[in-house]
Amino acid sequence: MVKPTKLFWKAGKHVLRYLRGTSGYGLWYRQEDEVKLCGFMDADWAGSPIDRKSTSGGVFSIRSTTISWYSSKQISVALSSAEAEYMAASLAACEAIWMRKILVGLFGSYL
Amino acid sequence: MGWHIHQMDVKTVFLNGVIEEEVYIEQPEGFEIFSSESHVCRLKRALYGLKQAPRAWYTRIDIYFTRLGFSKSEADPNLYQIVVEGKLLIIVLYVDDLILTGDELLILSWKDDLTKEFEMKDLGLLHYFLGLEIWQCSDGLFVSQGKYALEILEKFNMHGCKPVDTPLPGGWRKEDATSAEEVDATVYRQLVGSLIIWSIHNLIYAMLLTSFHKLWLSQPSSSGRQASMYCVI
Repeated sequence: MVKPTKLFWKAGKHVLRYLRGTSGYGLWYRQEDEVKLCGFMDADWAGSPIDRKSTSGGVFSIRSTTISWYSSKQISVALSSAEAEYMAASLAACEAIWMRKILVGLFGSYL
Repeated sequence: MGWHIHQMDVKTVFLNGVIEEEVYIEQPEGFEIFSSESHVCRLKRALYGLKQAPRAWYTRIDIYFTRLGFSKSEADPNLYQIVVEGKLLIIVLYVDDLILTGDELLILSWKDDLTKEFEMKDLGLLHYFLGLEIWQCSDGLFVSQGKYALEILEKFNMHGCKPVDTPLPGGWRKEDATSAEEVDATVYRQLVGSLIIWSIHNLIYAMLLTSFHKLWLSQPSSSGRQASMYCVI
């Protein structure tokens, strides 16, 4: 941010072009019969060439529509891909438990 | 037909908070009492800018909801619900914004009650919340950020640009970018700032669920609370 160059500016404008193509996108929550919470997670390993930290990702949906997602760099360096996956799995489990708690609170324990 | 989502906001919200601490202010300019200029005012209500104002407001409305029989979600302290004669009403509190969903008649009657307790504005059906546009139709609900995206494009004179499929050009390397020719830092920062806000809004889709403000729109089936949720913002 201190000394932006032409190439950074170009990358920024590229994002605007992306927005131009996707500004009509959104999330469509259809009326459906059943509440079913479903989640997926993944991790890469040492995805950042600068500090070798890995990235955790996750996406949760109810029936067909996404309700929550994230992609965040892990705070410590995973020494193996298994370690990276465990960190990501733990994060996803927290998220799932929390969302389940809300659903059960609102709609009973049928999940 | 599923549930609708309604929105209300509380006017001058922080003035509703009752403060417990002893706080004094100087007499406001133009409202000094002649011949008692040295006197100060003791605050009974919270004021904007007071450290305890947000907390005082939350305490006030929390007591109100609790007294009327709402139960507060364990998972989120801004999510309240009440069941009246088998009908469910859900309220999400976001500082001065209240989002209500559930049984339509319950919503209407609670709107009346809320208006009696606090000075409020009824915004009707929820259309716009925290930068998200919300369309409610008979078979579902659509959430988008199209308006904000177009605003950014206008601001940077890019509304006529050619769209691309990915947010980052292929083969882009930060190392190469650092050594290139410099550009105007102010405009660049404006662009980055706008995009960050856009992505925060984007996250708000997620945060509506994963943080303090979330909302569930559901369609109860004939068997009462065997509710079939069809929508979550």
